[in-house]
Amino acid sequence: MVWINGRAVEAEGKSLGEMVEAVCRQQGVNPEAVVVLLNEEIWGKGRWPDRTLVTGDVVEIVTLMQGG
Amino acid sequence: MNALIIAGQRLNSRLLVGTGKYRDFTLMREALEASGAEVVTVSIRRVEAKAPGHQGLLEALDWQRYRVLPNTAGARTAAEALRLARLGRALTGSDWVKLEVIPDPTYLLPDPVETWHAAEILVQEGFVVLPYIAPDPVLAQRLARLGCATVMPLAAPIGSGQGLRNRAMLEIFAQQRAHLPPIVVDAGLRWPSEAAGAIELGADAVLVNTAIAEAQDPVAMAAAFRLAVEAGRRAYEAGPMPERPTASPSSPAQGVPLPQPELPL
Repeated sequence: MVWINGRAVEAEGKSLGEMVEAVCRQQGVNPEAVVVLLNEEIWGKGRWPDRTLVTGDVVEIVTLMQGG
Repeated sequence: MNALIIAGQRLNSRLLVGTGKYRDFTLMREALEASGAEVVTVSIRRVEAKAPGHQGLLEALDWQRYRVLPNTAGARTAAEALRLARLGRALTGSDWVKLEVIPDPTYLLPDPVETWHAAEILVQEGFVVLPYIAPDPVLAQRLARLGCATVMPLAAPIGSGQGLRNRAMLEIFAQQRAHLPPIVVDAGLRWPSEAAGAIELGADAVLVNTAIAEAQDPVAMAAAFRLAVEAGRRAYEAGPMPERPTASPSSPAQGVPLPQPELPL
């Protein structure tokens, strides 16, 4: 299992970039507006490492939201 | 009016505003415009289903016009705040961060020890740190010595609308302003008069979110806060009259064309 935004997903073997773009497409968010945290390492907008997801990877895909 | 300077950045408006709790982006944009604010706060959250307010916030804000200030809301410890601050920097390209470390969900009171630890590391990492704190002047001095860009004492709990509940402590902040970075009173305000009051007593700026976003007419309320903050600052610079224990007539006491009561012997 791979953990994506706190949920266990069967994404082993998939490309990180494709996974991020799929999540963004699904949620209607511009991939240029997100940052990825892969196992505590930050990857800036649109500059994901060319990497295949493996079991135990923890991915957070975050963006700016309304807040005070 | 004198400009507000935070970390060398000149700001003409002393009203900072949050982007939370608006019904939609159109209303938010109109309220931001009416507020005249130059600094607007945002939060950092996961991209996920049913999360309101994340689709298109980046596009909804005019990045040429506003300095976008990411917060660390949601962090309960210094470590969590560091993670959110670093994500905020990656998302905004800015070193500015509104540091919030809040373990208490009822009153949303910030943890002073965790806030101090997070601030120390963030300053070392080159962040411009604007820490949200309880109105504790000793903590404010400690954060100032770390090199924080502001101190942001709370007027009342976030979103409570209870107004300047901590006025007495904020007056101590104002008395110690020579040893502090800009004082930004944050949280708990309801009326523009309270924002004016905070500025009159010596705060450099106020940060307002819920009082505008949850007003019945947020755009009109944003304009009201803008005027109040400007009035408060003008009054502060003008300097108030001295306070007296008794009345002092505004009209001449002599020459009143009426029979005068006999003076007592």
